[in-house]
Amino acid sequence: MLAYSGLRAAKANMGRHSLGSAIRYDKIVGLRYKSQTTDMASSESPHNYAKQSSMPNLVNPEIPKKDVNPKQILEKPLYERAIVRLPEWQKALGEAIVSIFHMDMDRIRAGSIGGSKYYYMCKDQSLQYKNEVLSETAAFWYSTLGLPRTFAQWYQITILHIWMLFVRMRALPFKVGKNYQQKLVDKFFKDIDMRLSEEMDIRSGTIRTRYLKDFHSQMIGIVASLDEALASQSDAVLASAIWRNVFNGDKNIDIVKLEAVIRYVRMQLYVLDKISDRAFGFGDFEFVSPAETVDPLTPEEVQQLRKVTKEKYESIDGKILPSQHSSLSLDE
Amino acid sequence: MSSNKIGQEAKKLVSLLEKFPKDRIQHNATFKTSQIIRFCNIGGIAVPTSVLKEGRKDASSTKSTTKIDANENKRNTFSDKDDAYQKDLFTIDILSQQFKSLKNIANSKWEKYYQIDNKLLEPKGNPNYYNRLLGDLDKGGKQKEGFLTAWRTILTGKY
Repeated sequence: MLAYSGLRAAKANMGRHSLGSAIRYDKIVGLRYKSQTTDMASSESPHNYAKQSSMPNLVNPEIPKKDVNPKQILEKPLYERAIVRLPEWQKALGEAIVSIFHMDMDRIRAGSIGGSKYYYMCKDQSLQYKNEVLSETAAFWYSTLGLPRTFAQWYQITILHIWMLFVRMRALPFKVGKNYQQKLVDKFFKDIDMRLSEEMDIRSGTIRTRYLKDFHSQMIGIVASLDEALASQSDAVLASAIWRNVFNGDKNIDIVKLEAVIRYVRMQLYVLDKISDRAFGFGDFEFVSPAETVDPLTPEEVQQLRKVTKEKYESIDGKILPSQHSSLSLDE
Repeated sequence: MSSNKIGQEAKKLVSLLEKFPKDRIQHNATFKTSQIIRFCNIGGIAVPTSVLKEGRKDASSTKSTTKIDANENKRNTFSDKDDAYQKDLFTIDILSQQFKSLKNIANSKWEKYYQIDNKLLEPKGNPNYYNRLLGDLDKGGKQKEGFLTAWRTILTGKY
């Protein structure tokens, strides 16, 4: 019955390659800690916690409640849909180019991991369209918390996730972290622009630019207020920031649901704190679903996590593929 | 009898909310004051004068400093009408559940449960980031930083 924290990291199977050892991603489940889905663990998850509230959802009639009713739904690019496998010759050519030109892989990875993988992870949390079944994470935000199904609400939830990644990116070495942040923001605004024009059918560039500027100033405000909450080390300040932004300053807020979101955010920050720079930089982080819980780690488990990370990224003979080179720390 | 009990439960919530920290900078809506007014309304308690005064101060200062019509914005987020609170819905169970959650928030339960290291709080890429942010916010966002430190940030990107 006890919630058990299990290490969800499989030992990497180091395959042999002529240029060194390749990291086999298919063997790796992802480095993160979470409670195994026992009855007790799932009943403690933020999603279930919010559901336990006996206060009914009070709908404010003055809030516009318009579902995102797209003219056309943007298709997911191939790299978002499945694990993309390059043919062997393309891989070898890529490795050769990286090796010959001594390319800085941390810089390149900022685009593919920070700007691409991490962005679509944030975006998918609350993406929803009219008359479509909500995803597991979106159901938490819209059905359980009762937030309005609007584009602006999607923006608020996405920026909350982006901020959590910002917090971790700041703890990377300055040059690398800044690059990851920049790529993430660039992709975010490019995507908003695309969604406004294609899905929301706003054809006028001037209007879109005006919206983008508005979203940008909102982003500055949200990041500043959430940073303030993090630095204050107080849930009360975090509650105010989340109430103002995610809950749209709703005076009829259900405080149990507000607490569930606080728990959700703290849980993610905890996982981000425990993951090493290298694993984070290589895209090993995944958001813990609102239906799962995280248990704090014992010192032995922290050691174990460190050991598994090292086994994954360091080969026994010291040779790794040129594309796997990185200056990011394995220990912190 | 039950309305008396609801009043007591609401009073507990209000007194806990009064201990919440004040916002460092002024926002269009404040969690603390809006919830104090709400629970006073639900419990049929008089709103503390300090909260009312603060609300009035907020309204006058927003008018003079921003071009945005604060009232227009507020209309989209919450109604000023008393009946919008739907106080008939609240039972003692609901209020005590709300109190429990509010107490967890006030005690920073989750911050302590998921304690994070200095790794995130003093990030190695930007060690002064949070100190500088809090320093500026403590001045209420009113005092501008010096010319040289501003240029240092522009040129190096560091805080």
